[in-house]
Amino acid sequence: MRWYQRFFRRKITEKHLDAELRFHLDQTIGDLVAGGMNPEEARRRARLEFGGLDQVKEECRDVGGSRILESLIQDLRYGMRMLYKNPAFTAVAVLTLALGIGANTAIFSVVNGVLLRALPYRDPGQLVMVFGSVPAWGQDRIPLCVADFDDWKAWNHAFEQPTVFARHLYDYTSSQEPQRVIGAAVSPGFFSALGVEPRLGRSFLPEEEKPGGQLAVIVSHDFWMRDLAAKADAMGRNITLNDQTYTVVGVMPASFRFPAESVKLWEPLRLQPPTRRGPYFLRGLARLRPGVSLEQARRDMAAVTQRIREEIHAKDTGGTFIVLPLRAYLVGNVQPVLLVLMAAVGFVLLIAIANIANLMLVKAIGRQREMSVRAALGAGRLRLVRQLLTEGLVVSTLGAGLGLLIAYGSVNLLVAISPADVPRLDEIRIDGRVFGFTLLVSILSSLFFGLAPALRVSRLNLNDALKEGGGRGAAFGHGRYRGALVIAEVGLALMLLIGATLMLTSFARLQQVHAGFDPRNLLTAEISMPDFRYSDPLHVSGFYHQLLDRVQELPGVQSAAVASGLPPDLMQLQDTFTIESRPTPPGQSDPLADFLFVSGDYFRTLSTPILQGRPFSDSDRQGGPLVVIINETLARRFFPDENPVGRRLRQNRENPWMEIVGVVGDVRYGGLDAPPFPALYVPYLQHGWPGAYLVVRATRDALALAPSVRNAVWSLDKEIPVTEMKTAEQRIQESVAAPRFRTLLIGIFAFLALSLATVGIYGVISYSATQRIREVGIRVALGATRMDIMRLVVKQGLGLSLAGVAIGLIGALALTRYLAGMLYSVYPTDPLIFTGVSVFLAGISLVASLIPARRATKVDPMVALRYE
Amino acid sequence: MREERAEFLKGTLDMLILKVVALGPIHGYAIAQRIQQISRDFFQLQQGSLYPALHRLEDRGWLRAEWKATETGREAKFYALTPKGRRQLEAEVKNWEQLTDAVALILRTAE
Repeated sequence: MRWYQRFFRRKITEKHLDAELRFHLDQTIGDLVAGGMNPEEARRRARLEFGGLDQVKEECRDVGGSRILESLIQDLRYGMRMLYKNPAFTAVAVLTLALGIGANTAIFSVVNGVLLRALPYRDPGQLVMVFGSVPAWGQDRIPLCVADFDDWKAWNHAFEQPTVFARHLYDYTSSQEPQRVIGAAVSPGFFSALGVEPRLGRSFLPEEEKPGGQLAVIVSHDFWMRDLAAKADAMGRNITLNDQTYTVVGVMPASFRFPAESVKLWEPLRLQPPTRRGPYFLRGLARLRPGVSLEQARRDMAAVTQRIREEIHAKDTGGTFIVLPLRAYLVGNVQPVLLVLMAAVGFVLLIAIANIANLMLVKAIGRQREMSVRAALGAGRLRLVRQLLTEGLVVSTLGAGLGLLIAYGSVNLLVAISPADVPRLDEIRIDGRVFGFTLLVSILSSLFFGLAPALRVSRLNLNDALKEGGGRGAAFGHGRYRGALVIAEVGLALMLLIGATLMLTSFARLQQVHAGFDPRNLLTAEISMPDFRYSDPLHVSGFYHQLLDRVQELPGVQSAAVASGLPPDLMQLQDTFTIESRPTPPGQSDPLADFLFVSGDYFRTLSTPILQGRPFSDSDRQGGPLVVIINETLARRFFPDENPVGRRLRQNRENPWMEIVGVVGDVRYGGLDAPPFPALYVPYLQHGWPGAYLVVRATRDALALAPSVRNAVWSLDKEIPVTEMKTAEQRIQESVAAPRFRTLLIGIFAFLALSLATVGIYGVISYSATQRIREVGIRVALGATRMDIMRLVVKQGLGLSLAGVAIGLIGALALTRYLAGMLYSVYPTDPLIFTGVSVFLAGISLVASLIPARRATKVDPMVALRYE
Repeated sequence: MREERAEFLKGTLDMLILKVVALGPIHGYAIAQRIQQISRDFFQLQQGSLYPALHRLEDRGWLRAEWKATETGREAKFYALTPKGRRQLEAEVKNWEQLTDAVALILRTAE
């Protein structure tokens, strides 16, 4: 009989084995009785000669290969039955593990999709981005100018063909309704640097890349699907962009989303020979030559910088180039956050595992007697260990399965609620790698859970355990192991709680930042003026003037204004400025400031105070004397001891002087977490600026005004898109979406950790109190008061958690510095938070041990002493 | 004195069982009796240990088992030798003889 047949016929085989052995015994007895022995004696003798019946059976069953599978099934069934009989244990263990594994898999999925998975370009490790950097401005990653690009191309030794690109906005008017599409103009070699070719059609021809060449465009897969009806014959079709006719020559693959997901079009960048250094609008992209390291490329660019300084601009600005791996450019800003989240969720899993190990151990001790009996009946040591491991495996498999479900749900949730600036979000999914990770975690943890009790059992002394009450004494020896688990749990939970509290405090402070204006009842919108129809600055200002007149007449509007930037985080233009009769010392950079083009009522509409001088008036228009208003930071930094009103300054070095007529309070344009930056306001009537935001101060609910404001715009020009209609409060909330997201996640993890650790402390203390029930009985019988008993139990719990708090504090001191970059106006080692959270956690563990302590005081000494 | 009787040499039990079964289908109890009788109670056979050996030999395909009625009418599991078992027996007997010959030779010539 093959082992598998034997396996399926297990029941029959078992019956046969019984019958065969019984036959033997009966035969022996019969012979002995026939020889004159009395039946009772004969039976005893037959059994003696035969040897251990169960052992023989076990050995017979052990023949052949059926044993491994069969005993595994048996162990599984037995394990399931044990778990079924202890629903509370099972539920707690499985749920704990599922939460740990689920949260881990979810976060790991995000980490995998965003950080680990290879970028969809050929040999992505060799791709780099090149930017400029001017340390004196406190800014890096400044775009390059055309001259920078030419010098880079001419003098480098480390790069394959350097390329640059610039983002452009296009008005796409071939479709039913006009839309604004984001595109990129790219220099020759851009696609081959990335190693990606169009999926359909072709790349640009050299003649299309020359100034004056035929206008050609490559579209994204997305754009092709939606706007070109996914037709293969779309190649060669003409579409209208910015009032010019372009020929579609190619469609990129769906996975191609460079430089950003929002980019839907690519056209050749046609550069004219530069006449000066500037403007700065190009981003550099290049592939390192084979064998060239990042370090070598950086040295190479330093040499290029040196040469630019020597040969061209001996007194240039002190700018340098920075070379950044493409991956760092794409995901650099989310990497630390994700790693911190990964660590946090790892802590949660560790706590969960410690909890379950503890549960299993407690259960194993309770089953010590059972194990002894099984050992006495002939179960091998290996067999017992295997059975305990199987039970661990059952728990962790259930936990992993449920965890995977939780992960699935939470990954979708994470993607839905994560801030828009997380790159590669669409690449996040639970894949084989993530599943493998879950499986590994669950198998490792099952080994871990099974092992602790299994090791215990294999050291079991049969006689001691079988003796009455023997199991009780032995339990004390393992208090140390359980104590260590509690200490570890409390330590980990403390680290997480401190991290979460730091983030929460930071977030609360961030939300209290005064952005420099009153965000209540303030409606904002983006009005995109098509460049090609509004290329004349006067035309633009005329449009705004008319628009503001109409909006101001709407019922419910207090005042309205247009501006080229918007608090808290929309700034379109930064440029250098120079102050009259105060030349910049040689070798230094000209100072940098935010530049805003605003209408007269801008400060009144935002409720930003005028600190000195006057706001803009209607007389500040084209033809009048040029005027400028500066913010408080600029005034304090550049005119510390004098009245700036009446002084003159100008945009960079080429523009005409403008007279300072006022100083206003600081408004944040660089995000709530950035300190105020010097800002210059100029009246839009003296300049033209096509992209603008409309701000409307309402008397009541700002959003209710949205339709009438939109109609006011369209009554002037039906083809102007009015987008992003939001209240200022909404914009402020969105600007802190990223910190809110990470604070929320860390908060959730910390809460999980706290709950799990509390359950852990409670479990250990209450178990150990039950174990000591006899001791308690004796103490009570000898005259101990309830207070004494409480103290006895609580002291144990508090001792363990204080040790955990001490270890957690050390860990937190070592780890919270990794949070420093994510904290706003909170020190990573804030003593108040460290103390507060420690006291809080100690308090929680005190409560967790008070419950079993109270129960211990209710022990009746008589019952306790009889308790076996 | 039972205690002084020899334990089976490792591996010899299998050969003895095959030899006994070779005489014709026979059940476990009878095998035990036969071995003890023929060896004139020389071998101490813990009777239970016979069965794991029987099951092992069956599993290897040397023995074939069948449930049949005994003379008393009771059902018992009868073991019979398979052709494969016969070849195994021959090989083991040959092995055994070579071994005992060699041992005997050493004992004789070393005197």
